[in-house]
Amino acid sequence: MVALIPLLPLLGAAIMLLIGRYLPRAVVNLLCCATIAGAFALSLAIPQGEFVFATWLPGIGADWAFLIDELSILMIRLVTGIGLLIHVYSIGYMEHDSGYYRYFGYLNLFVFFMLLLVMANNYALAFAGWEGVGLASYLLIGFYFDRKSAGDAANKAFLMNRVGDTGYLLAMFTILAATGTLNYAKSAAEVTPTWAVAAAVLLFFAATGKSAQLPLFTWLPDAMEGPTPVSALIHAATMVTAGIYMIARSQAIFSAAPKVLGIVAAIGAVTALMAATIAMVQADIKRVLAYSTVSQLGLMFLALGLGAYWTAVFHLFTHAFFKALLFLSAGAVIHSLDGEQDMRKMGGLRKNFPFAFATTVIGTMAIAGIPGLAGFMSKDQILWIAYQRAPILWAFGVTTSLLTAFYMWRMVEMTFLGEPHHAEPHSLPLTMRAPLVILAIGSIFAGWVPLGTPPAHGGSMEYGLMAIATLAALTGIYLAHRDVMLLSPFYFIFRRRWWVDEVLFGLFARGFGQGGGGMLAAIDGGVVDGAVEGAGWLTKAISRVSILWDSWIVDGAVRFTGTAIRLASYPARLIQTGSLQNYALAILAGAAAFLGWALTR
Amino acid sequence: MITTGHYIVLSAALLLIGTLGVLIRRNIVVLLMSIELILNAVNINLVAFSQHLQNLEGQIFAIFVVTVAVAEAAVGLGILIALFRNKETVQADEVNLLKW
Repeated sequence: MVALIPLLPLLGAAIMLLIGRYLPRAVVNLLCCATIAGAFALSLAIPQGEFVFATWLPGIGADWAFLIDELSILMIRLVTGIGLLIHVYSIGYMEHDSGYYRYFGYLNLFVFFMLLLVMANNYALAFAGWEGVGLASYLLIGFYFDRKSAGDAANKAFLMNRVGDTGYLLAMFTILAATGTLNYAKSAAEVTPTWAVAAAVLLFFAATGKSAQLPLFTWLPDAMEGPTPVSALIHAATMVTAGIYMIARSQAIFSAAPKVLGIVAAIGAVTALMAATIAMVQADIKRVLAYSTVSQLGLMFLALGLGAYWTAVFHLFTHAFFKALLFLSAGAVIHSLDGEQDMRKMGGLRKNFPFAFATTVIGTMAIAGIPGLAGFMSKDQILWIAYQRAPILWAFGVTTSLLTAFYMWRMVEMTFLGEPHHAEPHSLPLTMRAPLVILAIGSIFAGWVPLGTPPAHGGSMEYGLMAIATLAALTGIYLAHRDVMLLSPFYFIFRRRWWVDEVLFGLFARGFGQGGGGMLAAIDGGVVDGAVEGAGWLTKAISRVSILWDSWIVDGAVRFTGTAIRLASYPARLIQTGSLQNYALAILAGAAAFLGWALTR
Repeated sequence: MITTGHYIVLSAALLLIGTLGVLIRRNIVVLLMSIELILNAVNINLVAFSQHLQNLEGQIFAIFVVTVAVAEAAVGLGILIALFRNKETVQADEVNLLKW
């Protein structure tokens, strides 16, 4: 039964990708939603424990085996639950798209790999899922493959993830070399600080790729080229949280390497703030949300870096709800405005589109950290822990909160308030409304779900910090409402996205590419060409001898034979005159001779 | 009364005329005509002996020979026209490239 959870989406994907094009739209919709719904229903009754199905690589703990514990149950339910909502939503969103079967097939495929990733009981099987979600992400970002920008974005996402995956592979080798097993529990039992540092750094590098942290976060905003429900599911709620999950899963290794945890926290804090500043100057509604995702993931890494693994997972959980809600609301807006994504061309949608306005405001309030809503509950835990361990990180977190509230409300202002720019938007089908309502409810109440062990409460100190965070959020909203250009002197930095893309390009594409190219050219010219030329000279010398032998001995024999035969045949050739009648005469003579011989015999 | 012997004489005469024509005349059209004479000499022989031996096979064979002769004439004349287009001549002794 446990195995059925990932197998159902795999079945759906296989059917869609093999014969999906021959199936009517209603069957595709029903089938794909049914597989995810089935997986979700099964996950509600899933037993805990370790389930081994088959040996894959014997002796090193890399088996087809699932580890079902509190953490993976949460992830399974999150992936299938949010996945189900987004599948249902996609029925409405993709109703005018002819590639719907391909779309649903990829989406099912993604859910399969994501489940594999969170259910595996060892690093190797999880890596299969890790790569698989990257593949599904690539396919879905490039879903509109007739747009060049979509293809480029898909390549960028795939390549940047590959860079991170190198870290994962090396981490796997490190763990394998140190403990001889890739099984989570067995390797965690043998953790020693010496190799834990290397493994933790490498795993964290892998996580920066998958979860879009510095320096590898620039692929995520570009990934918005995919259909909006995909952005909600893969690039906000689930796949990008794989890095968080993986670090939480490897907490034994990370806890043994406190210095690496410090790096994780620092990178998380800096990414959170940096992405928030970039989100402030975006004009594309989906890009605002994308940078917001990077920023929120940064907060999760901040929590991980402080050793508060369950707090990070808690934020992951609440974030999945409100970020999916925000993306799907944005999708509703985009859908009803015939694909318009530029917020500068929107405005005043509140009157014509109160439904999307309501869901967006709920999502915004949740992410901004208005007390009681989901985002507040988890972010408050992170900030509280940060304040206890390192106040500087707390400052980063609060500043990020303020900026988050600011850019999110700026988005609401630009999209829903102000003067209407558009005619009546289309109405939404029920399949798109229902998931929005469910996610909105989740965004309000998800924070009250008890998960793991919350940090010890700190009495008035904690309430004071809560008040400060709330005040920061309200300030951000107020400033956005008053149309204040917060930090406007630095906009040129934010617009260029802190030059991260340029630095990466300069360092890797140009630096390693061309610098490495120069070195390779030197090796090529000196060593490789030298060897080739030496071999060429030797071959030439040998061939000289060969030529002499050939032209005198071999050719001599052949020519002598030819000449001899030519001389010997000279008399015979004289018979050939070329004249037809000579030949006729010869035939007659021959016939007469034969006749004479035959008659006189 | 015309006996089989008369036919054989006629046939031999035609064969001789045809053979000499092939050997002596230079014009290829005439050569082809001479070849027809040879073939018809044979035909006369076949028919005559068919009559003489009261056996129909000879006559049937003569029909075949006529058929083949037609095909041969068609091919021969075709070659002749191709030759004339290339060499502007129908003289057999001027066409003697195929030699040592």
